[in-house]
Order: sequence, then C-alpha cells, then structure tokens
Amino acid sequence: MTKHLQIDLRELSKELLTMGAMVEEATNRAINALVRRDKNLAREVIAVDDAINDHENRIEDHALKMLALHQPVAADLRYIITVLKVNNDLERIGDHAVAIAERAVVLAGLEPVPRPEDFDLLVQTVQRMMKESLTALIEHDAALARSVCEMDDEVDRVHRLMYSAMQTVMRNDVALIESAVNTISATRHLERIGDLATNIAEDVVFMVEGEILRHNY
Amino acid sequence: MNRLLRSRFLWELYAGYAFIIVATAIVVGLMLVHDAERGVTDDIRDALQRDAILVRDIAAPFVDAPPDSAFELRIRALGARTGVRYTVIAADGRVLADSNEDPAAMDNHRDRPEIMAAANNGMGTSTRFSRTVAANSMYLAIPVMKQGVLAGFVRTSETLEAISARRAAVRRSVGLAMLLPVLAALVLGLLVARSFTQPLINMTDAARAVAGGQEAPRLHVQRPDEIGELADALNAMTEQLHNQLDTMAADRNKTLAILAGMVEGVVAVDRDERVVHANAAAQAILGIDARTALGRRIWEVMRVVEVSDSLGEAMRQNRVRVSEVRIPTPLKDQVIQLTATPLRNGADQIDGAVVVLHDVSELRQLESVRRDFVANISHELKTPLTAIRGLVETILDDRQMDRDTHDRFIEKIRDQSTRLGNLVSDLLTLSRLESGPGGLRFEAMDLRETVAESVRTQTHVAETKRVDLHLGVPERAVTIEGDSEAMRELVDNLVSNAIKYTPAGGRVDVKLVAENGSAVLEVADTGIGIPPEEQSRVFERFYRVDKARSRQLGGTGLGLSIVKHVALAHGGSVSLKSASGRGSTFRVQLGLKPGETPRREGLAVSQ
Repeated sequence: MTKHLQIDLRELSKELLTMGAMVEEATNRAINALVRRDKNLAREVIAVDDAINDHENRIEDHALKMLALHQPVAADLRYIITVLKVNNDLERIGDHAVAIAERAVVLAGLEPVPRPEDFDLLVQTVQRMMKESLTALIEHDAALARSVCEMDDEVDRVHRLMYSAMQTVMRNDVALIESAVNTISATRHLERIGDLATNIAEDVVFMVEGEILRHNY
Repeated sequence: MNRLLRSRFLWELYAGYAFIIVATAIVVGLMLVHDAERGVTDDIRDALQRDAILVRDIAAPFVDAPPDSAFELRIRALGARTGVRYTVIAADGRVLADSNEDPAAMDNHRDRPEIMAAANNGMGTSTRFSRTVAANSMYLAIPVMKQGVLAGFVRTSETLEAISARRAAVRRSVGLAMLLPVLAALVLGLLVARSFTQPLINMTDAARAVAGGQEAPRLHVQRPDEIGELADALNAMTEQLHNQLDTMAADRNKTLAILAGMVEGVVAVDRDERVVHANAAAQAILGIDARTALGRRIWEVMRVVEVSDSLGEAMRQNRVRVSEVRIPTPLKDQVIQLTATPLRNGADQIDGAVVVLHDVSELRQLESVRRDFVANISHELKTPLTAIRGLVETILDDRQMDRDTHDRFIEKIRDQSTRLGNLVSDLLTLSRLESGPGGLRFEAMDLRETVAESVRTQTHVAETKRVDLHLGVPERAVTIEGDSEAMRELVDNLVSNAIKYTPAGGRVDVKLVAENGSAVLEVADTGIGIPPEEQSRVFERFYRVDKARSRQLGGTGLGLSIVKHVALAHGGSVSLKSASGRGSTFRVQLGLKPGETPRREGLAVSQ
C-alpha cells in the first residue's frame, strides 16, 4: 500500500515537474519572442498551450485519484494538495505566456518602442522567480521559496515604473500609442506571472513547513 | 606482537603441544620422585636393620638378665655416636635400655606395632609419632632368640626429619632436571608455532588491505613449504589486482577525459532515470551542475522536457531516438539535436540510457542564411528588373509619348540598371572574398591614403546631406599588408553607411590609429543606431534593420557583409557598439605589416 503510494507520488512529481518545465519554457519563449520581435517563436508558444492544458487535466485527475485511493495523511496529503495548487498556478502562468506571445505577434508588426532598461530587469526577475520557485518545489527548499516571495516586491516596483515610462512615450509620440499599449499589456502579464510564481513559492513553504504564508507578502 | 599473542591459531597449534610436554614432565617427574623416595626409605630401613642386628649381638646377654646400668650406659653411648635410637626390650615388653630415655620411665612396649610384628614375623617396622623424641619416626624391631625361644627385642628408630630432608633433596634434583628441558621445549615450541602464525597474520593483513582498496606491501615470507607458496600466490594476486585496478583507473580517466573534451553534451542515466554522468558540455547546455545533479532524477535537475522524454522513450521502446529541441536564449534560439540511446547490461537488459546533445544552432543558422540568401537575391534582382520591364513596356506601348516623360523613363531605367550593376558587383566582391585569399592581391599599402581618398570622394555627399564629416589620421604611415581595392571597398562602405543613416545636422567621425601592432579604423556616427538584438545580424547578407528605409536610401544590403569579409580575409575583425537612437561606432582592427611596427614592438615580436 505505502509502496504503491510512493510510486504514485514519484510519478506525480515527474508529471508536475514536466508541467513546470513546459510552462517555464513557454514563458521564456514568449519573453524572447517579445524581446526579439519574433512572430514565429510567439506562434509556437500559442500552439503549445493546448498541450499545457491537457497536462494540467491529467495531473489533476491523477492527484484526485490518489487522494481517493490512498487517503494519504500529513506530509503526503500536504504534498498532493500542493501539487494541485501549483498545477493550477502553472496552468495560469501558461495562459499569461500565451497572452504575452499574442502581444509579441502584434508588437512585431508595429513600430518598436524604446524599452526602458528596467524592462530587462523585470524580464530577468520574473524568469528567475519562475525558475527558483520550481527549484524550491523540487528541492523542498523553504528558504529559497521565501526569497522568491521577496523578489515579488521588485517586480511590482518595476511594473509601476513601466507604466510611467510608457505614458511618457505616448505623450511624446502619438504614432507609438498602439505599441506602448501593447507593451503595457505584456508587462502586466509578466507581473501576473511574478505573482503566480510567488503563489507557488508560498505553496512550497506550506508543503515543507505546514505553515500558511499566503497574503503575508 | 599483541596480535600474535591474541592469535587463536597460535594457541590452537601450541596449547596441545605445551600440554603434552608439561604432562609428560609431571608424570615422569612424579614417577622418578616416587622411585627415589622408595629407595630412600628402603635404604633407611636397611640401615636400621643392620644396626638392629649389630645391637642384637651386643644386647643378647642382657635381655633375660636383670637391668644392668653398665649395659644401659653402653646403649646410650652407642646411640649418641650413631644418631640412631636404640631400644632393648624384654620379651614381656619391659624396656631394658634406651639410647635416648630412662627405661624405667618408659611404658611397656609389648603392644607397639613393630614389636608385635617382630614377635610374629621375625621383623617389624612402623612409622608413627614418637612422644619420646617428639617427631615422626620410623621404627624397626627384630626379636632376640635364645635356643629358639624369644628372649627379647631390639628396636632401632630414626626420626623422619632426616628422611624428609633426603626426600626433599631428591625431589629438588628431579624437579630441576625436568624443568630445564621442559622450558626449552616450551620456548622452542612457541617459536615454531610463531613461525607459522606470523606469516599468516601478515598475509591476512595484506589481503584485508587489498580488499579495502589500499596499497598492500609485498609480503616477505621466505619459506619452502605451503605457507611460502601461499604467500607467493598472494603476492602474485595482489600485483595482478593492482595492475588491473591501474588499468581500469587509466581507462576510466581516459574515458572521462574524452567525454570532458567533447563539444557535444553527454548525459547518462540509470534505469530509474537517475543521472550517472553529465559532461561539461552537457552541464553548460542544460544549465546543471554535475556535483548536485549526480544520483538525482534527470527531470528533477533540468527543465528541458524533451531531454527527459527522449531518455525515457529510448529506454521504454529500446531504440535510438533522434529529436531536436530549441532552447530559447535572449539573443537567439539554441537548437540542440538529441540522440538518445538505450544502454544494455551484460544480460542484454536495459540498464539506462545516454543522450548526446549536439548544438546544431550554427548549422541551422547557416541553413536559414542560405535559404534567406537565395530568397533575398531573387527578390533584390527581381525588383529593379520588374521596374525596368514595366518602363520599357510602357515606352514600347506608348508610341506617342512626349519627350519629357520618355526621358524620365529612360533615366529611371538607367537608375535601376545602375542599382542592378551595383548589386552584381557587390555580389562579385563578396564571392571573391569568400573564395579565400587567392582572389586578393596582397601588397604593402598605407591605410591613411585609402581612408583619406574615400572620405574625400564622399565629402560631397555628406555636404549635400548636411552631415559633418571629420577625418583623423596619424602622422606616421599606417602600413598594412592588404588588397587596396578591397580595403577601399571596406572604408567606402563604412563611411557611406554612416552618412546614409545619420540625419541632417549629425556628425560622422572617421579615425585611424596604429596601436599595439594593429591598425584600428573607427567610424562613429550620431545616427539612428542599431537595437541590441539586431547587432549580431547586421553583418549578414541582405539583412536590413529597417528594410523600407534601407532600400529607400539605395543600399544593396551587402555593404556590412563586405566589410566583415574584407576584414576577415585580412586576418582582422569588426566590432560594433551601438544603442538605439544614439548612433553607432564600427571598429575595424587589422594587423600592421610586421616590419612597419614601431621599434619597441618590433623587438617584442622578434623575441
């Protein structure tokens, strides 16, 4: 019985990490498509979303079956619940990646807007949060998870800066309004990805320590 | 030595031997002592008997006479002289004389065991405690006969102290005589046992050391017997084992070195998808650290789904699986070809899998450049041709065309054919450069002249555009080994590009310097600049940052490509520093002609 549970748990971990890898890849591709104004890359991201959604359903199915079949307790129960929550967050990150890719397709056909240097910082921070929240999940590393939660403040700050930067662009050049609006939209999705990565990190802290961190950061 | 004393083998070997020696010694000793003691007792009895017979002759006349003090005195004197006690007893047991005691004070001796035995058997002995002398004594009595009738007894006795002393002397000499050989035998036995045990202990130590993977010393056991043979065999085995281990270590190091030196990444996993090896290239491509990744599941340590999928499938389907994955990076996608192969163990079961990561980004990039080139060149050739054909057809169709329009059309045809001509000559230049240095004529040339000439011819264009064109050259000649025509092409392209992309009122600086053994040409403008993500591509053929603007400005899209190829053909390099909206600086670095370098550096080179 316990051995079956262990095998199932490992299988579930693998599925979740695969999901995490797919979503991280989609996010990175979407961001690169945006930065490099690469329509083809953006379209690839949009195409892979169905696979991500299918994967989410499969993981949820598997996790629910495990709950019903094994009726796990304590750490195992917390782990499966965390998987369910992280799974959901990952799927939503995937949606945001698709949204960014859609903006990238639009932006590739428009006049480029000068990007403030802070944009690169935003991109890097969000990519790092994605990567480290998943690492924290794999390693059961609550300390790393907490550091991810702290990075979210930086993302929020840069996000606000981007707003004012784009406003300046629009005021200066009316021809760039469409580009600037799309850029803001993409930035907004990036910021949401940062929030969801924070959620994942909080779920990791819950899983490792059993303490509910939500809304403390 | 401690180990030796605790050795069970030593004691098993030695204990039986020691027991037999000691037991034999004890038994033999006891028998000898026993015999000797009996001899001592017999001797004493014989002496007592002889004395008794002598005293009987002396005493015979007195035994049936009344007590005689002279006789008494004589017995007493006799006893004092010999140290033996004599007692003369009448037939009825009265003591007539005693060498040690007053006979009147003595009991009747009729009931003494030796007397009774003498009366019955002719002689009696007894060993018992004597109150008279207060010591254990041996008594011997014989009867005194007169005409066949018992007349009395003569008794001799000696205290046992004398006997004990002699017995002790006998025991001591027997004991000593036994002890020395026993000790010698025991020591000898121990030495022999040790000579068996010590080599065994050494061999055990050596075998343990080898089993534990340590360096085992050679065993020195010089024995002609089985133990010596065993030691030789053990030595041979150790040596063999060491050689094999060395060979294996060398093989392993060689394999690791080969893996580490590979450009391709190699990741091996076991049956449970745990990482067993990841070489340096794989670590770089997948962004993993072998120190933390080893022993962990592959899907835990890296996030490229395709890698773990291909490993898993290679194992499940037992076949080689080739696929390609794109890992996006900020500048360009890394295209990795994955070849996953299942690993089989000796029993032909699947024991893991290995995946080879081959970075084919450059290959794919070249393919796409080639594809683009064909598409681009067709497009570039077709555009002016279409224009020319349209113009010519219009002229042919419209016979009544007025003179002005006709001339304007002809002029346009000339422009378009000039553009075609430029394109073709640029392509020829490129192809000449790409076919290698054979197409170039290298000769010593002063780069200052080329640069100055180029700037002079373009001053007019710059003035028309109201762009400030500045030239800075050093006073000394900057001599390089190069093809002057190609160099001219390089400088022309850079300068005309700079003027082309700099708006009116801007400034272009052309600067030539000689430093550290190389000639450096810098063309800096204050133009529109090149965004960072485009910078790596501007040297590609037909690549234009802004297609519409470039064509409008009359570029062929080959200029920078020619610059790069000329620089490379001269063993130089081109670099670009630019920011959007802040202008660009192109920097070309070429090697100076060795003989023409400043003296100090010339020395450095000759060293």
